[in-house]
Amino acid sequence: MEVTIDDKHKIVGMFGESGAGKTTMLKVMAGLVNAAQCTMHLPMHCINTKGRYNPCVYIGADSALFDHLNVAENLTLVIRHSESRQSNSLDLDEVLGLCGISSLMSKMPWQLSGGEKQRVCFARGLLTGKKLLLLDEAFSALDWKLRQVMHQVLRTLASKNGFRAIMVSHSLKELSLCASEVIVIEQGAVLNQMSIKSAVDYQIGSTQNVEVNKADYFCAVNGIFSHIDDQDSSLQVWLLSKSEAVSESQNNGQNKSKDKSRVQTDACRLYVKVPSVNSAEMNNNQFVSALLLPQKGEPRSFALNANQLSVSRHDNNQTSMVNCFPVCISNIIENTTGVVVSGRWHGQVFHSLITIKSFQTLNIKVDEKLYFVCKAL
Amino acid sequence: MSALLESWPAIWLTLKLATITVVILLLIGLPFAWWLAHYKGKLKPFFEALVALPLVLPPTVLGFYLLTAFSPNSYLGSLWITITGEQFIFSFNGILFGSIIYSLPFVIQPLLTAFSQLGTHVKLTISTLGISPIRGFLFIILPIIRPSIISAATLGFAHTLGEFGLILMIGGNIPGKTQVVSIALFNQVESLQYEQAHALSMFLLVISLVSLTLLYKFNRQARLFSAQQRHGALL
Repeated sequence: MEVTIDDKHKIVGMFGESGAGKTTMLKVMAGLVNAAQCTMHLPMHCINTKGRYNPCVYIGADSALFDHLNVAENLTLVIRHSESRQSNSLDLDEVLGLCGISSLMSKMPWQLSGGEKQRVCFARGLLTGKKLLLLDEAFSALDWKLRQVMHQVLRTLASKNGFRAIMVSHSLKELSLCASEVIVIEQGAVLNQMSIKSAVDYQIGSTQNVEVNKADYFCAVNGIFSHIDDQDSSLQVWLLSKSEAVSESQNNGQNKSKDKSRVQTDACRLYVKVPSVNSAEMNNNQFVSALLLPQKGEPRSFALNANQLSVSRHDNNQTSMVNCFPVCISNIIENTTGVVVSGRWHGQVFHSLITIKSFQTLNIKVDEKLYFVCKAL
Repeated sequence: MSALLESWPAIWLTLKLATITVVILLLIGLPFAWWLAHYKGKLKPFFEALVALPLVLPPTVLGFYLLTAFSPNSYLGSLWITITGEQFIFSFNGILFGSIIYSLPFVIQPLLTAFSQLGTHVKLTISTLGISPIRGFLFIILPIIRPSIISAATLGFAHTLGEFGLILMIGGNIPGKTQVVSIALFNQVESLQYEQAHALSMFLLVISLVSLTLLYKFNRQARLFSAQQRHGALL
């Protein structure tokens, strides 16, 4: 198994069935397991060194904290004894703010919930000063909302603090929200290495003959935050960005993304609900509030499930659906559970899952101009 | 009380012997048990047997071999005399060495179990966090297995208190030098000094009972603690 990762990809996803060898791959990279048949090439980094001199820190779903110490002691232990820490490494307060765990400091590991434990493990990994994070389902115990917050944290770390991450997940949807490239692994071999966009399309193509869960069909939509809606303060207005992936527009610096937001017209707007967050979460996590109120011009990905989108022949303003946009139908996939209709709008592909009955009623053809509608995301 | 005072030299000698034995055994035992717990070679069963050997061997057998090995006529015995200027057998150093071998399994076994149960994930976590193995051992692994270290020390201490055959063989019965409590007691009974024998026996009984009670109390707390952890992990 051999993988080469280009330097321009800050966050790379690794995707595959369970048992495909994702965890082994990461552990080999972290120098924790010896396996000669796995190699990873990352320019600028000397990988495959043993244990503590390895530039990667491995953070797993069930990584254990040291049970005899409380959270604060677990974290200060790393600050005191880790040899990879440098003067410019993140300090304790920064990390606590990023992970929203200030209130857990005096708790013992066995008093923490699974999600809290995972955030403390992530914080501990950041404190080592190592810049390459190997995240093996590291946020799997977090609910979707908090997980999105951590994805946001990860993207910020990648763009501002020079962190890089390789993220393992069995959910392509999770990966599509932060990674720019995906490595698909099957039975201990690299099957494919491609951009996240093509991975999503690939997934949809490969499942066309299989009866799959409706949630498996989705598309990752990239948007740039514009403003809060004038009439309804619980709605954010995002403008669809033309860039292929969020992290690319981040990498190319501020200028380009400003250019992009200038060319966006009001026509390509998407309404997104302001997430409801209770005040306790707000107080101890600056990034939950960042999720609430993004910066103007901030790019982000949204996962849009195919069953959220409906197809309409008319630009109908008389519905409760706030999002309505014109698409050009690019692809139609029929299977036993329904029909996936794919359409392009502003260079991005959307997928809508509809029943066979409505497909026949609407009589949809490729290259037709139709409308996709959905409620606020 | 006066009876106990009469036996004071023997009590003092015994406590000194047991303390030094435990300290030396921990210093040797911790690294050795750590090594043995991670050693995966063919000789592992042999080393484990070697550690357990003093458990099954009659103390007199051990004493006999030590006596012959370190007698002034032997190579080791004469070497010791050249280095230190004094005889090895019938000296405090002699009974200390005997005690270390005699109590070895009682200290090493709990440590070995603790290190083996620790699992590899602790070691891997330490290494991926960029912590050196030595610092990890001192500041993370030793604190984790502290309950086992305390039980090892208590068992080693209590076991050395009760030593008889081996010390009689290698140390003889020199008051103030090699005469430990158990031998002094034997002497007193032989010479029909039952009052002193009673005092000494009671003293030994109380010390053993107290140290074992403390040990089990501590172990129970440690068990409760780990049960809580497991409970937490399940939820």
